[in-house]
Amino acid sequence: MLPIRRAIEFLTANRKVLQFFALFGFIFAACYLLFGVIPRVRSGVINPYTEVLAEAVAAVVNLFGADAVAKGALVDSPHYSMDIAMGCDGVEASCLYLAGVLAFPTSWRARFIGLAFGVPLIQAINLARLVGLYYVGMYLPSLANQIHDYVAQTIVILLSTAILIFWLERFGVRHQRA
Amino acid sequence: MGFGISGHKWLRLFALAVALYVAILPLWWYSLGAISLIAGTCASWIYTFFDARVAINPKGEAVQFVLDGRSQSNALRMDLVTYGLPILMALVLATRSSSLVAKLRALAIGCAVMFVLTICALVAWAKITSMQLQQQAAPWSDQSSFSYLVFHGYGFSQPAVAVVIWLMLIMLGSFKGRSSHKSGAATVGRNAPCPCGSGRKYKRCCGA
Repeated sequence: MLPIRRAIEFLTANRKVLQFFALFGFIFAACYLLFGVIPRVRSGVINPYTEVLAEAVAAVVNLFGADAVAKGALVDSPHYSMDIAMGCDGVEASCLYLAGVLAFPTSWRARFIGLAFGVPLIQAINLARLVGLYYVGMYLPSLANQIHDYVAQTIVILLSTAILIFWLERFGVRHQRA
Repeated sequence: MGFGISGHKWLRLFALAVALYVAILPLWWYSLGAISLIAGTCASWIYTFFDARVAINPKGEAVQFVLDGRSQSNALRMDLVTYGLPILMALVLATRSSSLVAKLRALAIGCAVMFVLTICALVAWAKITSMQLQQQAAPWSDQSSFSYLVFHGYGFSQPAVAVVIWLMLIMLGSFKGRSSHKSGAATVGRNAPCPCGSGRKYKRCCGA
């Protein structure tokens, strides 16, 4: 009986935090399914957005004389070509942030502020990551896969979490609902 | 409502976490064989309850789907479904804790949750592979198929999974020693400096 009683005490004491995480997980999964998996949304929204991202990467690297052109989701240049595939579009990081902002029990004004500055900021960070990966691929091709798989995505998610915590401390907690 | 997120120096924490992550990454890479062996064996044992003909065989840093003693598909690279583990370890080690015991407990809980999720991912992969063999699911080569997007989504979301587990550990108070937290709550005034040394008021830090 003791473990059951302890479990009930734990659930009672942490009810609101557990509610937050249940909602967080649900919204994250729903957003990921919506933007990352459902074919119509992927082909109608995310793929065109990925092409815009490719054009933005080409525009940034051309500032430094890369002579790159965007062909669909491909950034092509005489030095290096990079395909912006699933997982490189910033959808996971944005979904994580969106889920955190929407799940936290705060006012809709605070949520709106969070989404208005957070999502564009995360997309800007993702753009910086893609530009960084372009140069890593060009100058450090032997390390490109490892940096792409294990470092770049991690840094984007950690920065998204930092933005989420900044929002929680500055806006979320301040306008917290009882 | 006490979410316990206040009171940390977040930028310093994230910088330390990135440094620790880079340090832990080689350790994780060289442990992949052992992780693959343990997770693969556990997943194989669980999957026998659904289909006794199927085994999930660990093979180096990957696992193979084996049906009636014969390998049936390309192996699953374990690094793709476990690279959240070093991220979680780095985040937990970088987080300030009331005691070493509390930090080790948080690390153990976090790693256990990641390990359970890895086993679930292996079982799901085995199920999808089984469905592919019966032509009920699109092959992995079809990168627009539902199973590919969902399963690889789990792989792409490893850092996000690690971050969510870490946030959960913080908010559930795993980094706070039970006895010290209770005595702190009893003796420290809400507007007094927090005993954890953050420099903030108790009500905005550990007492939030």
